Amino acid sequence: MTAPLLSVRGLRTWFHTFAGTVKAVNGVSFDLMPGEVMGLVGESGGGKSVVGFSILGLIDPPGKIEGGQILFDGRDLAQLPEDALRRIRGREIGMVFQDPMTSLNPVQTIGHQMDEVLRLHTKLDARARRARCIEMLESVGISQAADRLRSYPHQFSGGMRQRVVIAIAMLARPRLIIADEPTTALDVTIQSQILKLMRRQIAEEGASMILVTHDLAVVAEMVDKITVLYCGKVVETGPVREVIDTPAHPYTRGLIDSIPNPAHRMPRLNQIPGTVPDVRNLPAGCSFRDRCPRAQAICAETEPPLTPQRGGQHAACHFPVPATQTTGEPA
Amino acid sequence: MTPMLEVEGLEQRFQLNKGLLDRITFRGGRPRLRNTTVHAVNGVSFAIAPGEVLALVGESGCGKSTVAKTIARIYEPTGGRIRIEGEDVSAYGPRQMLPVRAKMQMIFQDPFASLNPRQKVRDIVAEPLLQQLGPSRRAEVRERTAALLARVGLNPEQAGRYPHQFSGGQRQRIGIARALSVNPGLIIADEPVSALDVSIQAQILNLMLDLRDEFGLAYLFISHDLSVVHHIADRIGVMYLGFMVETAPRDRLFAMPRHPYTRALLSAAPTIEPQRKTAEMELAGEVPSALSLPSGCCFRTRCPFAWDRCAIERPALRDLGGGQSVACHLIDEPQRDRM
Amino acid sequence: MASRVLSSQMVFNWRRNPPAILGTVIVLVCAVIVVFGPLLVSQNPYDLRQLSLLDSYKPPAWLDGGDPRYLLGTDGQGRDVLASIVYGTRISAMIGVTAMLMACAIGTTLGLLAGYFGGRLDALIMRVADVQLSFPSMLIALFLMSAFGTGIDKVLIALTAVGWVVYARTVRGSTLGEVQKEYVQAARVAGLSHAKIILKHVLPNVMTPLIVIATVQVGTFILIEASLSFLGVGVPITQPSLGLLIKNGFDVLFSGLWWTSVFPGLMIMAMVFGINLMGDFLRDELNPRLK
Repeated sequence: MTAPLLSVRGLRTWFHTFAGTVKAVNGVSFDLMPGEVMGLVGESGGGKSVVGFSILGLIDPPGKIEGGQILFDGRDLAQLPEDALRRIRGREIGMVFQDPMTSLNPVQTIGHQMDEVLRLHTKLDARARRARCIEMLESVGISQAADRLRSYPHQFSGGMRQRVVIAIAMLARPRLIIADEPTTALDVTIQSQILKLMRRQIAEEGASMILVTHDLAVVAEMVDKITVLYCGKVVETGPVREVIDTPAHPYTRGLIDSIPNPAHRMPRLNQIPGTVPDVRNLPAGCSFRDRCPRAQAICAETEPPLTPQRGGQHAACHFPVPATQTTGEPA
Repeated sequence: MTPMLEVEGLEQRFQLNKGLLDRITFRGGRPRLRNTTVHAVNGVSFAIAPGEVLALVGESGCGKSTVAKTIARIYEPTGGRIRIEGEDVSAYGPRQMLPVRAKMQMIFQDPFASLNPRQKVRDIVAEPLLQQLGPSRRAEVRERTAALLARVGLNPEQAGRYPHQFSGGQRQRIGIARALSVNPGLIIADEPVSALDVSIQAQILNLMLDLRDEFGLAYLFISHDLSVVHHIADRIGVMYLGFMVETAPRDRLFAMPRHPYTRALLSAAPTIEPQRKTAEMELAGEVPSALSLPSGCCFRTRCPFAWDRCAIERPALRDLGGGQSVACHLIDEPQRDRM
Repeated sequence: MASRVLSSQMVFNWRRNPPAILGTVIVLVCAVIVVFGPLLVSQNPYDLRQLSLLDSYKPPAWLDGGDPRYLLGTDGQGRDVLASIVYGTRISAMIGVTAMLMACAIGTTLGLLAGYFGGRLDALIMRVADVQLSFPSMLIALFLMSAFGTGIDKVLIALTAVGWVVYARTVRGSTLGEVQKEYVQAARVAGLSHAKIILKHVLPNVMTPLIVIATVQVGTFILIEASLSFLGVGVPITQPSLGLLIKNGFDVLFSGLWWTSVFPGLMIMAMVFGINLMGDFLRDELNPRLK
């Protein structure tokens, strides 16, 4: 049994604002094996982006990692000082952000930005670095790579910029890539190209990936395993096909039912009633109970722990959805 | 039956603000003036019957939002005709447009930017109706506003609050209440659920369909999300680079898409049950710029089937029966269709 | 609208910000002087019947030869320096605030028109603004004085002519941004006229940065007016501002009679300093990052 590449245990990242403490991540745990692709799914306010930033140590005040462990290769990233984290960022863990225009420096050429990464994290000489940059650009599908090194970000279209961002993330051959909504800002046909590219790159390098997104359809095509977050906690996790076909947690169930599915057309989408609770004032017990069709008295008293379900799934629910109710039927 | 909305040969061209000196460029060693006209919409025609939902789909830059805004007269059309309930409003000035605006309202994409942050919610919702009826009937408008807020699922007692105190989904409901206030026959919805979370999206789509059933509304629904469009549309129009390349009733479009772009779009769209998808058709390259449209068919630069006719002759939208129309030369030469 | 500006968060931050508190206190003291001035001092220095030449050039009360009736001393005509400062502050402040209001009104209007309509109107207004900025207020005041004589109104015109540009530029920039937003488009779809849209929708949303600019500009105008008066092209002698007081005392400054110049100078400094502290606080608080 191989050891996980990344093991997050009880991560808590809180933001202390004037209006109250926002517990963006409040006890998140998961494991990621080498070569595995995990989808971190949730809606806005669910805390998924914050998990990604916490792993990389990019949380600025008023935010702070309050507790928990982030074990990467046996080292706890939450405890490492900044300079040690800097050596890991880019070299062993790469990040792809959502907006390619702001994640590239508009006043530096692509070549310069790529070269910087290699200079910081490898010991290659100038010629070797240039060769690696060209190799990377070609592998992400940018033609005339040698010329393109001299271009500025604004001279590329959105899709091509995102390819460059992916190239930069993979330059130093990291073992883990965290991609935060990498294709949300792109058109559907470009999105499909980029997703295929990322899958190929990950497979070639044998790297792992955490794909943070709200788009369940993208997740269904890309990942091996899925972790669903609600109000800063993990409510369900498991192999992607099992979770999507037979979700155990009512929130996952509601989420999947909310998505219009051309294959099963329903006259009315099953909507989840109510709205996401204020993360500063979460209800006692299970955070989802006010919107849950299956809630009972105990749900208001005790918070359900993550318990194993069928088929490798885990769900945090006192009354999980039985396997016989597949999606498309009313809960 | 008179269509609720009829659009004929609609065109929209924008000038980029470039001064004379900025436009001078050198090509082949000689100075030339760069073209600064953006051809956003190039001869789009369609009609919407009362109570019907027509969706316009396409990716960014295809001109679907521009079509919506031109019909709503946020931009003045540079060509073509717009008819609302049979009345030709293309050349109307602001005063003549005012009664027409009671028939046609709009919902916007961004729930944050579509409401004036300094206005109370009740004033936001009341504004179109107040503009129609005049300030003398303020009391009547106030009652109607409260009823509207309740109808879209909001608490009328919160009418005195400001937009920032509501969530994204609730703000979108406020926008819908505002559009409903004048009892329009047509609502133009520009990506109304794209900025919302999936669970809220479902609530809003259900609401829009309920309102359509209750008030007999017609929608012009702009979206890039094919799953959403599949749920809500009766008919669908596919746009690319300002041209309408295919229109068809919903089920027919999804089952038998004829235009290569539609086929690529459908196969590229991620679905939650990937094993059901048909074979992937991958497009090469990027979308050309609207500043210099390709000659002939606008899609030929990325089309896997393009041949020399496509560069010379622009295909016209042709009726294939069953309510489906396609603009593609493949119809004449189906043997070139290799997939 | 006031409730949005004076949010509880702003008060919370103010209480924790000593410079902001100091600035506000100074400005409040000046406000009291402006409103209640004549009631605070016993002598009206511009009523010749109250003056006595025998009391001229008395030093401040705590020095040798000082007179407890005249806390900060007297000037060459026997005028109480403290009373002169009170009256002078009223004039300086009034000029600063009035000129600011005029510049703000003109600049905001032009900025809204330029940003909303764009095109040639925008180009025209911005070119006029550029040309305007190349004229220093000194030159304008000099021209006005030589053509029309001295007077507070000439000073106000000179200051406004220079001051409107910053409002126009700022408002134009904000307006360009707001006009793209969908709520403005929604107002068009509802059938509102351009004028209504500008007044009801655009203006309230571009006003916030103006508060900071206006606050700081009052201080700037006070200083400019003081310089103009010091050089003799500002206020007339009958309505001396603090700047003119400094000028009057300047002639005898090097004979050792320092208090007639220095105290008015300190007053200007304190006033502008207080205004700037308040302006800094407001700038940080009203920054759009709060949204």
